[in-house]
Amino acid sequence: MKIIRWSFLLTTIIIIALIAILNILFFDKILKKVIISAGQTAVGAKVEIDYLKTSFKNCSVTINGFRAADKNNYFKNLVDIEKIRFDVRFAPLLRKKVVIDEMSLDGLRWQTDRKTSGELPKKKKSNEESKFAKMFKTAKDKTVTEFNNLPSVEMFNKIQDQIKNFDVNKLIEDSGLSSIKEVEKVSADLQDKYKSYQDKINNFNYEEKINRAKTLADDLSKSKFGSLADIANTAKKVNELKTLKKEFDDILAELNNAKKDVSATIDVTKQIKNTITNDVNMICEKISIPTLNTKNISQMLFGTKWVNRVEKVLYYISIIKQYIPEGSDEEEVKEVKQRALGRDIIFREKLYPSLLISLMKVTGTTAKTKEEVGIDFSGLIKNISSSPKLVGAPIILELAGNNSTQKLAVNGLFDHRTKDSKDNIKVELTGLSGTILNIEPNDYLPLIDTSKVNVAGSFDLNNSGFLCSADIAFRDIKEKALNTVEGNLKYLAQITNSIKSFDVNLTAQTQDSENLNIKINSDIDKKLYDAISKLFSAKVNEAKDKIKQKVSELAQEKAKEIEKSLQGQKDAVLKQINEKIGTVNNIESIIGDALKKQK
Amino acid sequence: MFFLKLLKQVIVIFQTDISPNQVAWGFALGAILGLVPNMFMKLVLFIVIMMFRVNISAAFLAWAVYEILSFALDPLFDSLGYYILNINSLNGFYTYLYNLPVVPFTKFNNTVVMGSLVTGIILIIPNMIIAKKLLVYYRTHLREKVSKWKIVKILSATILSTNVIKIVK
Repeated sequence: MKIIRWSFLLTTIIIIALIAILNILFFDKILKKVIISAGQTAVGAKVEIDYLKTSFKNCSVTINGFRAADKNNYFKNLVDIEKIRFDVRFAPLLRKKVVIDEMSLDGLRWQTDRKTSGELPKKKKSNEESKFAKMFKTAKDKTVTEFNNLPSVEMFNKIQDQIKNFDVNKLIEDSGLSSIKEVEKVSADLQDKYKSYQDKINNFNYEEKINRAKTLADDLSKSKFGSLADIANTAKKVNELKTLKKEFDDILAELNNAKKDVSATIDVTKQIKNTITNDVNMICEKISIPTLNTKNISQMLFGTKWVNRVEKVLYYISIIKQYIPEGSDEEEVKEVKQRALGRDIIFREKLYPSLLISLMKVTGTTAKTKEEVGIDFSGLIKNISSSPKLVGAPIILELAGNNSTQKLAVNGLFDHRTKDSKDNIKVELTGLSGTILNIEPNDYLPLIDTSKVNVAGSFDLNNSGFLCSADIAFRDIKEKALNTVEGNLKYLAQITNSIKSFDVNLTAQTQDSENLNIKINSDIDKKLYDAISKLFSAKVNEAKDKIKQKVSELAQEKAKEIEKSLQGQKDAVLKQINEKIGTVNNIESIIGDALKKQK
Repeated sequence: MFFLKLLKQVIVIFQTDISPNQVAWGFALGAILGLVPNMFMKLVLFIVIMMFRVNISAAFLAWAVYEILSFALDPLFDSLGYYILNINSLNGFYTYLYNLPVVPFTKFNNTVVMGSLVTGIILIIPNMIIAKKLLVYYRTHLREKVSKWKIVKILSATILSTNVIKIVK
């Protein structure tokens, strides 16, 4: 007896075969569409796959040319992966669970250029709606506004203006020198003095006294002592002569004093010396170094960049968080579950999360294009799953790579096993080019692009907030070629050239949307300030010398002119005085002789 | 209409010379189909019935009969299933089955499913023997008498005419 109903069996086999063939023909396309659609929902921008091939034999999937656009810059790729390959376990698939023991990711790059826009035709729900994205957006807006209003921006402009307007002649002209006025005043005083002496000499009425003295001297020389009356008369004349002599002594002393006073050198310059010093100090005050808030420079330079970096990390984390829900503290497994029809006895089951990638091997490069030299890195990501609690282990990320000069190490831990999830990423980059930070060249900055940069960053995120910190060390900064810069920029180049290295410490911390606490500390502030001070001091001293010289020259020129014009007047007065002194000396000599004889 | 069709099929089983073994096996397997509540298990059993050359009408008849009976027997199946599923020595085996790719879809770990399945399997031989003996007894002693009943004549004629129409078409 034939026990098998072959017609049914064949029909069944044909139907199953048809389904399999249809699957083989169209499954790849369907899966590709599913992955693209899911990816686009996740990243909020276009996702492209060049080639996708599945194999039913060992449930393997191969994806070539996977690119996900960056929703913040549609002409950049968030990630660009050359090849993805993984085997999916068949048994869990029947329970709608995707379990991958090992996945390989080759040629991972990020921020690569796109030829076409990665914008989705229709706006999808973006990650901006997430808790952290909202929180950060509010805080970011607030902080960026604060950075833009920093006084250091104004300060730099002020310094630049001062350096530009550094013209000694103009400064002196604008100042209105008091030393010149003083020269004129001194000149006027001297003129008055000479005039007063002239008047005084002219008003000396001693001709009568001279004649009287001469007469008395003559009388005394002829005097005879015949009687007491003669003696008394002679004594009277002697006394009178003595009185006259005393008067002439006084006149002589006065004339000598006047001579001494007038014959003193006309040194206007000496008299206005203090005024010149005052003038120099007054002008120099105008070119003093402005006070610089040393905390401001690094905030101005790195503040916005830092905020943007933190935002980027948050964006990546938010994507991860979106697909790795927090665990629950409640026990889910129950021994017996009551049902309407019977009871389900639960046996010890090997439970799988909806998605589990036990090990993902990653290789990639930091180079954005194939021509660029970057750091080739490799590493692994363990325990990627939609239910870390079920897997019982956190997601672990370990990437490391180096080339002859550069080194990269990324370690991450995403622990979502309990309600209090914790995410931590540590990044260490050494020997990188300064260009990686995308700090635009600036006259006020050293050539950061030429520096070697070492970065040690850490990002901690928990349910209540995040703490993001980075230590960046800039080393071996090359100097700007001074012959390529002209004018006032040379001074700035000198300032920036003096900075060969500097460190920056950045932190961003928040517990709620209102309080984003951003701290940026750097020794570039002090170094820049010191360099500015040094150069400015040298410049100020140089200018002070010039000012002193110029002001002295101006004042002395004026003084000499005055001195020359006063010399004639002085000589005339002196001549008069000398004549008078001669006359007085002569009469005093006569008086002296006459008195000597009487003795 | 369903009952009419079922009645026709029953008449065909009883009145024609279909192999009693086929009918008996069909009835025995159909009984399990009726007893088991799980749809996936039903589907597997249905494919088995369809694959083997057993009488499908007998299987449907048994399915209908035991489906009705199972409503009343569910508490019994529940107790039996609970007992079976809690046999410690079999725990490892159940755990193994539980972690197999497809088997959990059968809901074998449900007390009613397990109880009804075991009952159905236990009843295979008794069902088969009883079905075969009854059929043979009927055909030997009762078929002639019954075939004279008006209702049977009408239904037989209907079946015959339906077959003729099918052939003509």
